[in-house]
Amino acid sequence: MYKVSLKSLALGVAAALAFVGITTGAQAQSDTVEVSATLRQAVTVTTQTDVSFGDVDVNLSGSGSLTLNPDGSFSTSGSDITSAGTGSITAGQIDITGANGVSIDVSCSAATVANASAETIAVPTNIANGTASSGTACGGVGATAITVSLTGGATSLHMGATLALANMGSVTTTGAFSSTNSGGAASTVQAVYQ
Amino acid sequence: MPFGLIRAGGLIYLRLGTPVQISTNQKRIAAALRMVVFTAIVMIAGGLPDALAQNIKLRVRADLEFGRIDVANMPGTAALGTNGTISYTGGLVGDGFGSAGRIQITGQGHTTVDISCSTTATISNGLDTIDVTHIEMVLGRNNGTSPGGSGISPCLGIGLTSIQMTTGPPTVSEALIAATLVATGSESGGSYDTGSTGGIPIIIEMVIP
Repeated sequence: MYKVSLKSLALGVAAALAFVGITTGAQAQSDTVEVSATLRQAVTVTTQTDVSFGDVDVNLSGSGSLTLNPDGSFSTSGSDITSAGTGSITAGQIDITGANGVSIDVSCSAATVANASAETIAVPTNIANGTASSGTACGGVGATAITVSLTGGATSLHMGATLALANMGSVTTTGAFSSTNSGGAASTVQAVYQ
Repeated sequence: MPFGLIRAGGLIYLRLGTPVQISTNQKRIAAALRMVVFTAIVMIAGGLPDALAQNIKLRVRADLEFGRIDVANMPGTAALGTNGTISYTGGLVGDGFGSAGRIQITGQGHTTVDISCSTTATISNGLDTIDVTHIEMVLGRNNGTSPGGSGISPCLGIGLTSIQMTTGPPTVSEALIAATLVATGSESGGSYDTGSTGGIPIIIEMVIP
């Protein structure tokens, strides 16, 4: 004969009560929410060199033009550009930085130069990646002129421009003309990720 | 009468009788009998909590996604709302769209549970880290709003209830989660997430009272 003693049963009951006590407490579960983002270095556009035609002698009533190329070379047409290439004649340089290896659309606008009397000359501009001998005409901000790839996260663009007698109709006074004078406007270059 | 058991008012009462005489002397049979008694006591007492009985579960159904952000060399924030829209400040720029996180409580019995969540998280690209702050929740899958909008409850930390959710039937209880990304502007580019080295996810805890 084997007895199930009162002591044995009491132990069983105590264990059961302990179990019940544990399982009737608050239950907790947890999980994790992941977060992600892709960061890309913003595009920066920095002018390193402004466009300058140097000293140019013209017959205002005549015709012809001075074309400054992105690589700094220049040429004239017509006989009324009587002298060019003296003084400081430079193409523009614009540096662009951004995420490495991505493509960027570049747009740019024409410029306007003015003298102290606010007489203005429209100056069509063109732009090229690197130092090409010819650039793509700037059609305005937002109208992509060229697309460049930022190898190494940076590239240098160069800007040329054309000074045409045909655009000097309102000019009566020679002298210094600049986009910074009243009535003038610089060429704006915009670069955006494709 | 070997024993009787009554449960009332959440307390367990037990009345023990005299020892039971077993007709066999095999100890293993007696031990098995004790186990039967033990199990019976637990079951009769209704000791299994409702949570286990109703099989309530917390599930993460969607993670937070800030999408692509362009970062200028200056500090800024990207505040993601539970409606998936993003507003930017400072040096951060993007298309204005991301996706909120979503959690779900499943189970039956109309059980109300407490939900708490961590106050911060960290995303990393393995090189740099970015803080994720202003973590917030809103109850209901269709109640998404802009950051800090109507019905939003901020996360207060694990153990500090932000919202309460109730199980079905008939509906499944869900909540949306959003947060704000805070960048210094000097971070390197690339893909950032909480799973990369140095990353810390948002912890969600459900407590069934």
